[in-house]
Amino acid sequence: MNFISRAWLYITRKKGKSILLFIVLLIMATFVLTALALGNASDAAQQNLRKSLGGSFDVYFDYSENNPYLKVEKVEGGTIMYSTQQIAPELVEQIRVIEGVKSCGARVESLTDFPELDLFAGTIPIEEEFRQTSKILGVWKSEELSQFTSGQLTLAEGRHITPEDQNKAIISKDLAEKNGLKIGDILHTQKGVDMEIVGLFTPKEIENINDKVTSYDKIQNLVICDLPTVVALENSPAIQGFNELTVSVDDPQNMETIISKVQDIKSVDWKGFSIVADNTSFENAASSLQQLSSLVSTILIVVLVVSIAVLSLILTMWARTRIHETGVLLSVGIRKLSILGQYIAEVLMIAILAFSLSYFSSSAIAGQMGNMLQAEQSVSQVQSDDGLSANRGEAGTAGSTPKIEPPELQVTVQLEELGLLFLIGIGIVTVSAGISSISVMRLKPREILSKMS
Amino acid sequence: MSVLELQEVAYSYDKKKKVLKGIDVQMETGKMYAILGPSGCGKTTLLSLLGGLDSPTSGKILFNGTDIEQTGLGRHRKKHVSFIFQSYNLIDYMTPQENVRLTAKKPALPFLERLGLTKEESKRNVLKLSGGQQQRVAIARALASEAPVILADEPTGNLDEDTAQDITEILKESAHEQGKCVIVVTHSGELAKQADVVFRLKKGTLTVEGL
Repeated sequence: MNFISRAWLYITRKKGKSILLFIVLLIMATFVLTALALGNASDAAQQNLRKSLGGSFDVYFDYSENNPYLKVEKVEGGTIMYSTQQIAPELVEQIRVIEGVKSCGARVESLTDFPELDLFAGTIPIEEEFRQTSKILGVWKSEELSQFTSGQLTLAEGRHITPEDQNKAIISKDLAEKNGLKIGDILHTQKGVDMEIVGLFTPKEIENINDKVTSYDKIQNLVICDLPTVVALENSPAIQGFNELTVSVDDPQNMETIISKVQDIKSVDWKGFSIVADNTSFENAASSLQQLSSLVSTILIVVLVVSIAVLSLILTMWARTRIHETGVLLSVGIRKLSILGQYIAEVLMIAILAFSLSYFSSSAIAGQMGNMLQAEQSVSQVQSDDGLSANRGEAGTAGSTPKIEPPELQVTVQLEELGLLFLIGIGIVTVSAGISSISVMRLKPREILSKMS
Repeated sequence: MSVLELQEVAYSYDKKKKVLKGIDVQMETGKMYAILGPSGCGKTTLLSLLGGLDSPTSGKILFNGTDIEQTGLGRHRKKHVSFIFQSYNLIDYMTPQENVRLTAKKPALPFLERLGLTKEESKRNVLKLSGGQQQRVAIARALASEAPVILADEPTGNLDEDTAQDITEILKESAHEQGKCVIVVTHSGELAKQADVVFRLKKGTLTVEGL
């Protein structure tokens, strides 16, 4: 009779022990499989979150003494500080083609007078000389501007500003309607630089009546145009390129690599720029998932350690009760290896059944456990960096503050996880059964028979 | 020719106390041997050495002229000897048939029927059989193994007089009719009387009774 047959006879005849071991292994496998499923669901959710939120970093002039290109000049009514090395469209193009870069929101801000426009009034009183003034935003590609990529602004009509444009502008639909303007019409500035309207945008939200905002900061008065137009309007060495660039990346995990690649661009001296990474959205939204991942890892380790301990204890106790059987089998000429094989096979047979059925038990509880664990985590609501408000600090112009919540965990037990359970479980069971039998197996047959008598 | 031969076999648990002292003996097939002696004199130890459950401190045990240590004790136990114990030592989760099949390649039922067990009894759990029936199963297992040597340690010790006589007859029959070498360790004078050769183990030495 081979060891498999003996093992089969044992587990079918010793039903009480077999059922007890089956229950222990089923519970152990259910916990392990649930923890694996939760862990994988959490990893997948984090990955999706990273992809959906992305991340960004900003390139600014360095306004400290470290910037060798920084200049301070006295002008009428004060001083201006600017960098002679600015962000040229060529640099933006070089950054845009780096793998993993999703968009490049290059911009330069200024104020200019539109004598013919009837602007929306703000809630903060302003001096008479600024009544016809509005903010003008010189951009590289308006569709890659963070206000458009975040959904804060939407192009309602016409087209976006492109790097090839000159004297082209996008204004708000509200401003156009208020002034009877349409696409193709010309905006006249006081400085004699004209712009053709190529598109109209609508803001997701406008300032509340209680928000404190000047007329030139109102989102409805914003004029988005190309860089050459702003350079021509300013006609100053202080504005010859963009002064700020927001680079969005596909996956925040690759942020450091992409920043390194940016800094490897040799056409500029990086001593003149500061790079500030912004992963806050992802980090805030992912923090609860990361906590969940840590919790799941801890649970998995605890479950594995407890399972091994309980299993080894049970099997060791059982091995001691089988000294008589071991002695008998040895006395009839059955080899130790075959006896050990029988003991391991018994546990493996029960384990295979328990592991297979744990697929159903863990499927039943994994989803509920995922929801329960997720509910316990603090769900952070983070504000998306909207660009304008962050840079200038005004109330109102940015308007919307999108809420980002971690995605719901989709916990399902996959066949790969079941495979992993089999791999881990069979390893644990084999080692536990082997170790628990060693104390008996290393005895000489006569010692075993002496213990028997 | 002797099937089992002991050459200067000695055994001690520690350096001071020698249980067996230079035993020389030859045993043949077709005979039943009885080993008598007081409790603790080393009878079971001698049986364990013959069965390859332990190794002598010095000396050799030969099976058909070959040292069993060279053959391998595991192989010796599997191929050359079979045990019958006082406490039967059956596997408690198996039926008589399954216990016999542990060692036998042939069908188990004829062996069991020859020893007086019915077909129905041979399918019960061994713990549901009487002591005599359990010992018959143990003997059937020993016979079915086809080992030429049967080592029996107090095989009738737990049985009533009639059953003990039956078992003794079966052992004699195994020696005389099936050509086995049956070695029985016993306290029973009745059993010893029916052996072909009776050894007495005293103070570590083995002597033949009646010589």
